[in-house]
Amino acid sequence: MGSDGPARRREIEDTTAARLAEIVAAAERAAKQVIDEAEDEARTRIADAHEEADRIVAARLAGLGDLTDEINAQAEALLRQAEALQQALARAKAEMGGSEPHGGTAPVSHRDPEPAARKPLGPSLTVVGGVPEEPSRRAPEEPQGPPQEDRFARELASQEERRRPDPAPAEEGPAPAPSQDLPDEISLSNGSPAGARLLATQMAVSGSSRAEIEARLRNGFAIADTRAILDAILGPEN
Amino acid sequence: MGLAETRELEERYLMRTYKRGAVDFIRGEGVYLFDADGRQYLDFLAGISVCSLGHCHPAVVAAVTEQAERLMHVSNLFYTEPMTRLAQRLSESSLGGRVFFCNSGTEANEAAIKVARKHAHGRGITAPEIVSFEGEFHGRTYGALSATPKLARNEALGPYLPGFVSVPDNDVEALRAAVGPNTAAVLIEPIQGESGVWPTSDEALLAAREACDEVGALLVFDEIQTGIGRTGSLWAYEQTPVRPDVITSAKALGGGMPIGACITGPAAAEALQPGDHGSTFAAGPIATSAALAVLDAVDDPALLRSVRELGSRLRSGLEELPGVVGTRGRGLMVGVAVQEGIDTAALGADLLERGLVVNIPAPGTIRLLPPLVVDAGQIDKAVGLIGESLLGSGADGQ
Repeated sequence: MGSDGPARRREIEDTTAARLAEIVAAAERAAKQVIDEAEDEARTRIADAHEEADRIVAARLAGLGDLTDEINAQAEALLRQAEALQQALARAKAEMGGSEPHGGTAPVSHRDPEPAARKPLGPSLTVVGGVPEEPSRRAPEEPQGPPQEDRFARELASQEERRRPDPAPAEEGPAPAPSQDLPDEISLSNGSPAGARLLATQMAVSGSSRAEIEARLRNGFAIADTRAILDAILGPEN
Repeated sequence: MGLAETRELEERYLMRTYKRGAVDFIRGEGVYLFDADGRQYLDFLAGISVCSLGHCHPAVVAAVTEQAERLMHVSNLFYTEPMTRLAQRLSESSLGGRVFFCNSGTEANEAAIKVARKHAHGRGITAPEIVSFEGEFHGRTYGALSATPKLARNEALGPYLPGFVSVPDNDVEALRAAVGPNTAAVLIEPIQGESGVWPTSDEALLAAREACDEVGALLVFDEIQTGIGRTGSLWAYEQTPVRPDVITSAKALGGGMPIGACITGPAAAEALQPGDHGSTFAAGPIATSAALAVLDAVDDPALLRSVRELGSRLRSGLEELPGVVGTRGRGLMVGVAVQEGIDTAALGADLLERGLVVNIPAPGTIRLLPPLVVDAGQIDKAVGLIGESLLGSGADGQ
């Protein structure tokens, strides 16, 4: 090996170092460019995403606004209908002369009209046969009404009264014929016929005859003419 | 064992809750009972309206026997067909809702009270009240007893349950005043039975329906005595101008087997939920099979028509008797008011001696609850016996 060996080695080392430095510098530049490009791409995509989100939100808000308007319109329509119904009910109530919440109200001349004349005792111990009574246990705790005979006499008299023929019609002319199609228009001497109609319907369903239903209606209700109720429920009598 | 020995054992071993008639019945057939001496009695009490098809009705006996040979009890933790078929039958024949089964009338009313209270709590009522009339009888367990005003006055059995209000019978204004925002239910017997057969007036029933509707309360009919054909319709409410929300049934439902039922309409059908109520023996296969046989026989238009016609015949015959002031009731549930001064306890004993079983629920009143299968001849026979007994007791025919 000659004397120029070390010099040559240094030259090679320097050259190599310089090339390496260039390579590193080039790599760094390339990396920076990639990073810059990626950052640009990311910013673009974020911007696009924001734009899409804003568009969707705007579209949804617009839809909700339409729905709210529709609901408001429907609520207003319901309110108008309710007011109209209320007015119709008020007119019907005025025409009927009173309220009728369910099943009719008090069109009755009931069969046991005197609550004061109550039975003297409480429930029994179901005494049969020769069991002696217990006056001390059975003594009434409160003053009692009239004796039972009075109650029965009045009740029987009341029933007898109801059995009598209806009084002659007023002189201003014959009463209008009861409507079979509109049993609500049945002429009662007092109040609504709804309870009477329910009674008649239930009795008919349970198998009672026309005569039985008519008797019950006459006993329990002050009905001037039972025919319309009976015809409406049982069909016209042949 | 004869009557004397039986009485001695009863005296020694049974709690003294009943005073019994002096006869030891050993057999029943149709409308007749027989004592140990073979003597025949015409039964116009029917076990307090339990044996409405008469004693040992063949269809009921067959149903019970066949079921007992197959399956007697499994509890309510499982399904049984007779239970479900009976529930369907009861619901579809009345209010269309759901059924809770139990073993007696008082339990049926307990169930109804629970239904009413639960329904009320669902409406935000924290202290619900049950309103009833003073003369009513709903049973002897504490809830039903608390709704039975005249019995709930016995302080020796107190305290009773809170939340029960009573008003004078048929007092419409008092009823309307008693029903308010805390009212859970109005509990009514359409015809008061134990106090002597007193029909509740149409006016009171209508007022109760109206008052319940105004506050959202339930109208409950105790049909334990009036139901299952006793008044000439399957349910007594069918001959009233209202339709209740709940009815309770027992007595005749099982034809002699112990069973009760609380039957709702749609309004109260969902009130009770799992854990709210229960009963070990309820809806057992034997009792429900018997009840199905009873309904097969009773829910028959011809039989129900007969009940109405024979009831009219019975009342007409009685009203012709000396000493009879009047009659009350509907169908074959009849109260007979007799002349003041007649000792009705002695009259009952005399009738038993004559071979007629009746009930004296109160002085001055005879209660008649013959089997629904009674015939016209047996009706006339009973009327004749009562007439003879009244004449013997000093009735003056006025």
